[in-house]
Amino acid sequence: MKIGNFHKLGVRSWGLGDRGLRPGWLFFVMIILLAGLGMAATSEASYCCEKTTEGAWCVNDEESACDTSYNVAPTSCETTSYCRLGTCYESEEGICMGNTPQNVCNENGGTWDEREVDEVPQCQLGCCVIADQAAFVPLVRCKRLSTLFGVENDYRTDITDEVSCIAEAQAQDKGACVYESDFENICEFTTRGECGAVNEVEIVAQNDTLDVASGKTFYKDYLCSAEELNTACARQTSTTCYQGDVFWVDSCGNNENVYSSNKDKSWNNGRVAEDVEVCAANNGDDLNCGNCDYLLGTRCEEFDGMIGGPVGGDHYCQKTECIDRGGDKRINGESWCVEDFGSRGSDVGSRHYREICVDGEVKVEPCSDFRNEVCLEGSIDTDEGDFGTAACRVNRWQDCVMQADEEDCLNIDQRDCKWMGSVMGMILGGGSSSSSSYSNPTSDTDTPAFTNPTAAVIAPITGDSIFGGGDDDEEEIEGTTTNRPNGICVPNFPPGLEFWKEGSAGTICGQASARCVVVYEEGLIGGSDIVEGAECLGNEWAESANAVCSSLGDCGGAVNYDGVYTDDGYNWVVDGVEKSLEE
Amino acid sequence: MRSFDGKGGQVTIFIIVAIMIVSVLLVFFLWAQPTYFSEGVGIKGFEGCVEDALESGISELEGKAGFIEADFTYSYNGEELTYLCYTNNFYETCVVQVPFLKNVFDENLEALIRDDVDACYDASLASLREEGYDVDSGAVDYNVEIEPGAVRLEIDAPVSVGSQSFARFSVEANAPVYDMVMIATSILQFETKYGDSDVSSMMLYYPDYYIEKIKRGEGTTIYVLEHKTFGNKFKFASRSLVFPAGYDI
Repeated sequence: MKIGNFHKLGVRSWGLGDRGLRPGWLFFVMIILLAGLGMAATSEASYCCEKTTEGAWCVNDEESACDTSYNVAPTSCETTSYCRLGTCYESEEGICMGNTPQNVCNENGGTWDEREVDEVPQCQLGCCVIADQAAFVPLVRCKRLSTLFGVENDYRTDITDEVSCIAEAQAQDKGACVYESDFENICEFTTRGECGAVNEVEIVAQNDTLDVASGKTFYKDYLCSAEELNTACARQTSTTCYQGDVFWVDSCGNNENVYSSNKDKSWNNGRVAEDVEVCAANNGDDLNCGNCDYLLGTRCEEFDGMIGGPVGGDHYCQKTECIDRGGDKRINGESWCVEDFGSRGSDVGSRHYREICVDGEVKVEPCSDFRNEVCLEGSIDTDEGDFGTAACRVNRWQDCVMQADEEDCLNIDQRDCKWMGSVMGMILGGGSSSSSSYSNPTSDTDTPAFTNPTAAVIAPITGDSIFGGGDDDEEEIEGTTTNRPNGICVPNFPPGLEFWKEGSAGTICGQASARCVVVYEEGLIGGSDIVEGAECLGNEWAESANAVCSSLGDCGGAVNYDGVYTDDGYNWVVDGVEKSLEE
Repeated sequence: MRSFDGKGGQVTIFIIVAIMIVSVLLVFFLWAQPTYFSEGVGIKGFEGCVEDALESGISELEGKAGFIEADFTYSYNGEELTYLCYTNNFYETCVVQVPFLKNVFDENLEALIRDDVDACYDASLASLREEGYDVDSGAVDYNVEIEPGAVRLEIDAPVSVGSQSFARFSVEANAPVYDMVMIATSILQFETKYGDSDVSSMMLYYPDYYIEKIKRGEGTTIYVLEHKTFGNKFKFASRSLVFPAGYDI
């Protein structure tokens, strides 16, 4: 049956003859607990303070916040000369800092350049090789590092990324660097470059294994304790930790191969051996293998016990584990996501956290508050199972409600949203801010129906589009309509809102409201039948509407992070009578 | 016989040369003291006193990112943490407040321990005078330099104690300040460019350090760099790429 042309509200009874219609109204509206909601008014910072009274440099703020002994201008800092941002370069340490105000840079003895860091010639990155280590830094920084570590500067501009730079360092030839001093063969286990660095002269002979430079001879892949070299270095006299693994050390203090209690295997006839050739990656079960593995949770540590230690050495691969909140074991370096009090980080006031196992202790790292960041986790497959990794990442919720198409909604490259089923009468994006009061459209009085008990004004979500023009009782009735008939796109992780103070909470919660018209047909001999909108009379309709509301943020009736449910974030009215979801 | 006499003459000459060499060495070491003394040699108790002052100063400055009394700080658990990078706007990366941390640390450490070093100097001289030495002293000047693994203090303190003269002292304290300053600089570079930093990767690169990152509700991020062995903590604050609660309208 068609609703026909009932148009006017505001009268309790309708004189529409025998088949008159009685419109029943269900409103599900969220109320924002705001003390005075108007347009969210962020204070406009119209002055650029070179320095504020608090001591901050180059801040856009109110004039009263500026330190008047410094420059103040009624404009944005971006347009001032004294707070122009650029790159600040320091020539001694070779440090480049972007986003630095000109005056701050100059006062600190730097050289300022208006270009971005990447565009400043002095800040161009290259590969700085320092013995068997590498750093992807500017040239001057490389020179400084070389000086500090007492090695010759080895800067390679042809390497253009950090990964290649590290790989370059690791791929360097290593071996025994032998030279004679006081009639004795002295040996250092180092890189080919380092060997020739001290006395760089023309190489007089070269083949795959041998370089001779100014009395120094480089034997590629030889250990200093190799018998052929006839040095004073005796093999495998102690152990040490190096780059996370356990290594044998000769009597001259040179690192040899990875530690193994099988000394001959580790020594490898005085030749360099790959770690896995000595022993397989150690998961912590074997005290006599020094091939520690970060992904297996092991790293080199000194053995401080009296008995039962590694054979012949003082270091071993220590496996450090933590126990997470769920009682599961986590190995050193693993990270995972947690939420407040076991909730999945969507409850009001909750936030996401990342936890990390560091040296047997679980460290907590909070993601941004108001769920502006969410914690995401993944894993790396290892021989011992999954190695968990987690990170806080920006929550891209902002444009979810604008998506009317499911595919767009679920495009994880663009946003973090989820698709919910359509709710009868739900209007998305209809929120507006208003301070006007509203009349109950089914009432014959002018008493406002949706006054917020804690606020001086009405929430914007009870906007004119729903209830008509304020006190006007003569509103035209429309049927149940929705602008999301196929489904609703909402944030996957609802953002937190500062609903207790003036801000944008009203706008966000006000994006959704629902109105459902139930049409009754009066019988000839009394009674009435529902001819439309019966599904709106059940709690399910209100619950689904509330689910949409609470998915938008801290809206609707919801449980907070402490497990307490509050229902003053919505207003559900049926024929002028307020109802509660708890009923 | 001639040959025998000749050998005897040679021996005599060798003995004379040896005596002369020994005499020269004795004169050099006992009378003309060299003017540079390494740690452990110098005015009584001076180096130890300065080393204590140095370590105390380092410890104090680490918690404030190298500042004795920073202008712009964030209060956290009763501590005032220096903002090294800051913006009060939403959606923007921070503006660098302190571009070169190492220089700041050098200068402030020098200023912080100046009184203590002077006191060490005066106390040492007073002690020597009490013991009856004739002490002449000049003005003290010094320079602090933080280097990988250590902080070095070079002191120019001309002193004459009796026949001995001292001019320069070098005191070194083992402290991982340099590394911590450079890690902090690296974090700031990330904060200015990306508005955040990945401390997990940094902990992989610097396994001796634990890097704690605490994000506060209003957008400030607190960083605490802690050396796992020494326990030194370097703390600072940053506010970068902050998202508002809801929309910022």
